[in-house]
Amino acid sequence: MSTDTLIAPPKEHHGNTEAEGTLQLVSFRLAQEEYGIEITKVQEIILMGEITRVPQTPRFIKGLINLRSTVIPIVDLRTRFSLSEQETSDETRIMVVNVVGKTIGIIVDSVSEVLRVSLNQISPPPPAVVGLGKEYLTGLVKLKKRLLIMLDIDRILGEEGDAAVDSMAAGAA
Amino acid sequence: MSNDMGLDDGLLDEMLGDFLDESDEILGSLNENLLKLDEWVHSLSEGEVARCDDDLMNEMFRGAHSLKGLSGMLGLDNINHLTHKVENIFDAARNDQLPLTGGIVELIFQSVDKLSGMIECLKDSDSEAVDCAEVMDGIEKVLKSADAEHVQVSAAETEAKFNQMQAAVAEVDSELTPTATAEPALAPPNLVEEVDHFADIVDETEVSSKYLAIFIDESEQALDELDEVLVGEIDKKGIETLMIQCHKVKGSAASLGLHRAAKISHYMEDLLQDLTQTGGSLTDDMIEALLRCTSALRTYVESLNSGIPNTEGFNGVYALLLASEHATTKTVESSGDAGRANIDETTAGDLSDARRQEIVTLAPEGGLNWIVQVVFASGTALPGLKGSLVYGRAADLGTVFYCDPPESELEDCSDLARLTLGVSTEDDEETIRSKVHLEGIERLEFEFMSPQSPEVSTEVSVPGEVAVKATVEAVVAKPVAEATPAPPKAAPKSEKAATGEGNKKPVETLRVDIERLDHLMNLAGQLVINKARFSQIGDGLKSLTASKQASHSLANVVGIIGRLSKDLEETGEKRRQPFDLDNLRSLTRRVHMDLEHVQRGMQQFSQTRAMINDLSETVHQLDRVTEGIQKTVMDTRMVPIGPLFRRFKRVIRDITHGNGKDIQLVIRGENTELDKRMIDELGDPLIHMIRNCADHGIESPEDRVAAGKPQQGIVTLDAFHSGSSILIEVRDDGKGLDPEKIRSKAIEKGLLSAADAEKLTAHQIFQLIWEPGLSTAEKVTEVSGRGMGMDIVRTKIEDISGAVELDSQIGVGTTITIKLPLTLAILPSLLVEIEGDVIAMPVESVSEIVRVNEEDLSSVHGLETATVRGRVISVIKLSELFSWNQPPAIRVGQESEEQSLVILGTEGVELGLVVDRLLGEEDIVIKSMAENYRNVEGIAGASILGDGRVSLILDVGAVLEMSAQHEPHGELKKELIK
Repeated sequence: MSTDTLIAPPKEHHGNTEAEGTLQLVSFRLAQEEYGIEITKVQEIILMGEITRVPQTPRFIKGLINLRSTVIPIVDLRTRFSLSEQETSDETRIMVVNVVGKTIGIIVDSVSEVLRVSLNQISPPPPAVVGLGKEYLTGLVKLKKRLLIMLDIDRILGEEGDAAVDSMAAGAA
Repeated sequence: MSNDMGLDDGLLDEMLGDFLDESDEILGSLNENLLKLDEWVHSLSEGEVARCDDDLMNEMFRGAHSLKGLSGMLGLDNINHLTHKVENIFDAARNDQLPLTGGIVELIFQSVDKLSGMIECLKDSDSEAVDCAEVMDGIEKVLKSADAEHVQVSAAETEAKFNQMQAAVAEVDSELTPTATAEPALAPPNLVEEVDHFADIVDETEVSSKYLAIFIDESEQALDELDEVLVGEIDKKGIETLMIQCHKVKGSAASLGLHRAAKISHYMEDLLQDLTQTGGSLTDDMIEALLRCTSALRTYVESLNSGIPNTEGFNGVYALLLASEHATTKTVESSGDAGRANIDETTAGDLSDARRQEIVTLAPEGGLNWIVQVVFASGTALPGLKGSLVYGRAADLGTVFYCDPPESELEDCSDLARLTLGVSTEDDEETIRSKVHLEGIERLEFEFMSPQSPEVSTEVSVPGEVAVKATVEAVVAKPVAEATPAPPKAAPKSEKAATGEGNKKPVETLRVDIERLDHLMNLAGQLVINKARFSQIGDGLKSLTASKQASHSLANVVGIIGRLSKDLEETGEKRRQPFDLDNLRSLTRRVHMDLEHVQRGMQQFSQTRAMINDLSETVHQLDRVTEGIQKTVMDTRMVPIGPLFRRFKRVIRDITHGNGKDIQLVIRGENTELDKRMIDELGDPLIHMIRNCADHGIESPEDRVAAGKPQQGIVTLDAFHSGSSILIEVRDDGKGLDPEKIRSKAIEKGLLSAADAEKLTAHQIFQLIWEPGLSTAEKVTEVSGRGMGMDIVRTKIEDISGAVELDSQIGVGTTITIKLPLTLAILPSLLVEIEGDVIAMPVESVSEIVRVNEEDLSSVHGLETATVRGRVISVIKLSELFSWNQPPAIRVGQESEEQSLVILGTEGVELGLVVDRLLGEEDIVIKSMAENYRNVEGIAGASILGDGRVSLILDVGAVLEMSAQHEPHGELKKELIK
């Protein structure tokens, strides 16, 4: 993960109205950790509803929902990051995000706030981060009393997609 | 694309769109006509020189000409040059300057291919640029060889006016095609037909009502534009706009064979063209004339709509146009020929309005009245005497009610150039002409005066235009030859012919952006979903109020309590035990009152039942409306398959040329309509199939004869409806496929083991042909044989939710059947519940639904099977086939004695799917899963149910395949699939 990717987004997404070198993030909680996604990627935040399960998909694909006549897949981020499963609560939300031309929903424990951080608050992820999910981190945001993990949401489906294509090819070709 | 016209981009884009549409059509018809021509050329014996059918040549010439003009207008130089060359060939051919040979036809074929390529380039800027230099050179050579004659012939056509026309045309050409000037010898006498005026121009009687509608639509737009520009301030750009619009009308009219309209707009264009050449501006006369032209055209176009074309206005306005032009161009023209033509034109110039009015007032009521203008060749001896002779002859025919100069002065006239007569006679123009004609008369102009009815004058909307001129110029070379062979028809007759064009009203059309339709389609889909939701709500409400008994029991309770409280009161009075009883009494009273309240509420509630009935009635109507909208929107996307089929005639021709076979393409069901998207997608697979048929299927003529078949092989393309799907068949009567050959080939290629191959039936073997890499062709030709074609075919067809099957019989032929859904967006499906999941499956692929008991089920080799009416069908549970990673929804189907089986697939490959509950049949809207996720094996897509939930649509084909892999005996297929 190079620093280039960190510097590039503000230029792309924030026009003249925003001060150079800042980034707006939507922060959410997932198993005691706080994460952030660039606000430009987030389309909306909705309540949990009935999810239709889909066969032949990885475990972290919860299924499909109907978002105003569009069918979108739902990713359970806990399963994705191999965290313990948790019953949905009143706080549980689906964040609808736009990634690489697709619209998907991700299940998070709760959505906290929208905040603005300056680029110098962001540091690259420490090299020694252990566990799965490391590859989805783009950096750490140091706030006054807490740390925010910046998530590279574009890759949430990405690798699975490749794997899926491979398995399809093996199965059907 | 160069834009030297200085048009704004919007207009240019629009024109480009029009151009693409039109060019497709033109190229299509060019191709068809070329095939005819090709046939004709081949029918000629060696060395025989015959004249080709004029109509055919003319039609092709017109096509090339329209394309040339259109591309020139848009500055598409490449297309313009090539079409110009092609046009030259056609022109040379129809003027007998160029004997048509197979080589030339081939050359034209190539040119048309190049043109298609170039136009394809325009549509999609990514496609490769087309190099047409070779073809152009070829054409040039051919033309050069014909050149000597060519010049001779054009020299013979020295009629002055004609030359002037030609000069104008050459100018048009040179402006449009800068390089064309480099070879002026090649500039053909394009417009031979232009020499004559309207009288002998007869519109084609067979005009497809569909194209007619497009023409009406387009030309009305163009006319509106013309009028708008004409009435405003006209600058240089304005003139250009005018020219473009005139050209548009001309092009589309000509392509339909509405030659009169094409001609008048052509003249308009000429006039404007001259103006831009000379840098002059429009005079008031010209504007007036042009406006009259547009109104005459408008009358004509409108009359087309009613089915009775009215071309009456054309001649008058043409004359006006000429007059207005010559008032100004006289000073500009310099060349001797043109100058000479000018004098002729001016002397032949039209009658002034006032004069005509005068003649009209003199004309007797009833009868056919003509205005005959006699133009004497300059230098004719004793014109006066001849004039009076003409007068005398005319008087023999009928009544001469007008003569200018007066009859008495005629004989003394020594320099009479023109004589105007008003004649009332029963005879037609031709008779008059033959009677009146004399040596020394250069030209006779006839103007037919229709009876003075108010209708006519309002239609033309120009005072003094009551006279409708049927000008037939006796084009006489000097010295005056015998009576001209021109076949002038009597105006009334041609009028009749015109009305004979049929009274069928053309269908009105409107071009709509396909994206808008997609959007509308989407909305219709949502409406379908909403409708389903409404029905559900209605049903839910109904079940709520269904408990009529509740109010009964409530009434009972009220009654009981009432009696109880009465009893209590009575006992209370008797016993006089105030404490408990009083309490009880007040309590019961209160309960009584409450219950009465509730009862009233219940009564009110039951009234809602009526409203719910209203609701369901409304929902029912909504149902119908939705269905209507959905169907109509769907229909807007439907186009007949005919044009697609006809394209393959060319493919067959090319192949037969390559391999020396004799093949006829028979097309059936060309009116069968398919979704436009599907038609677009079908082109590729069909070409593959047809090539296969023609290349491998049909035997060589010798082999055919030896096999006792007719020498000519037949490939049939057929399209028809069958249930809720459309079947397209590609059939040949060739040698058929040998299953044994395919079997051994498949084993050789390692597609399946020899043991497995033995088990397959011939029909199953044939389906192996769709596998990549399997080709039975001994030799790979340039068009087919590599074994990839069929795989591509199947993939393409499956992409549009279709299925494809092949059947064949050795020595009899091969049939490939493509089965397509009626539409891509909405799918009639069966909804079932399996383990709490709602699953939809296309009704199409469900052959039946049965309930089976325990005793019908048995186990064979650990595989569950059911016996349904004597057939043994393997039974499968979805959970065994699919791997679910999420737990099933709460409701788990209770184990019962009976099971519902949905039998999927067709005879031979059937499968019984165990379902927990049948929910019914519904039209569902298919939502792609790949749009936001990816495709999932066994799932064709998702759909949104009435309650807003998402349901999965089963991909029955894939499920059948998966179950084949699943079963113990599935090795074979598994291998096959790998």
